[in-house]
Amino acid sequence: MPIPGTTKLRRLDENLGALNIQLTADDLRRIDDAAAQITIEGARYPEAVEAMTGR
Amino acid sequence: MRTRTLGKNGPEVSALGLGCMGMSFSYGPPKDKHAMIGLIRAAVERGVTFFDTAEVYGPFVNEELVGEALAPVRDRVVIATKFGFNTQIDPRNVKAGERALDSRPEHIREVAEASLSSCLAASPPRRTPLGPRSRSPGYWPKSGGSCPSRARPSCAGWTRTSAR
Repeated sequence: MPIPGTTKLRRLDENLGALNIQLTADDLRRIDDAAAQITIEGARYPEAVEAMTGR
Repeated sequence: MRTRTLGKNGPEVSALGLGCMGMSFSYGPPKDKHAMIGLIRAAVERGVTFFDTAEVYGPFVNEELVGEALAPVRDRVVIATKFGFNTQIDPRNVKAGERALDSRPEHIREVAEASLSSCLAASPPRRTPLGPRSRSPGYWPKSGGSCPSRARPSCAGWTRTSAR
């Protein structure tokens, strides 16, 4: 369930505009390929908060 | 507005929800309350029926904001909230015997009741059922030095706030 946050009306309208976009299988493949090029850096949370996640 | 069903038998909500955390918490100083109420109501006008908040956002004030904004349309919208933190404890400095997470059924019951009254009341009750604890300030990281800005840009803005 996507719940993009914003504090600006124009961003809300942009976000809602996403409902009008239908991604094709090719779109998704290209997005996956591009995302795979990104090196993930850093942790999910600051250390103290991570310690509270039970993992 | 397209819709989705939450879970298998849950309520039907708009295909896109609105995350409300940044209106009060985590992304810098809280935004103007009246402007944010206007934004939430603008979302309702556009067909959004799903709104996300949590007890820790503020703490408390974001639930109250969302509750106040949605009170006039409470029968038409769904609010998601979460609870389980002890908002009195600074997670950076948890002392022996303290619980930063509090998942005891009695705690969950208490905070769930408090969240319900925050989210459902037209005039916020200021969480009076909770007693003194709820009137004390909550402690949250002000600026995590270890905060990975790419992974989670929001956390640097966490700040100490007072529950009303």
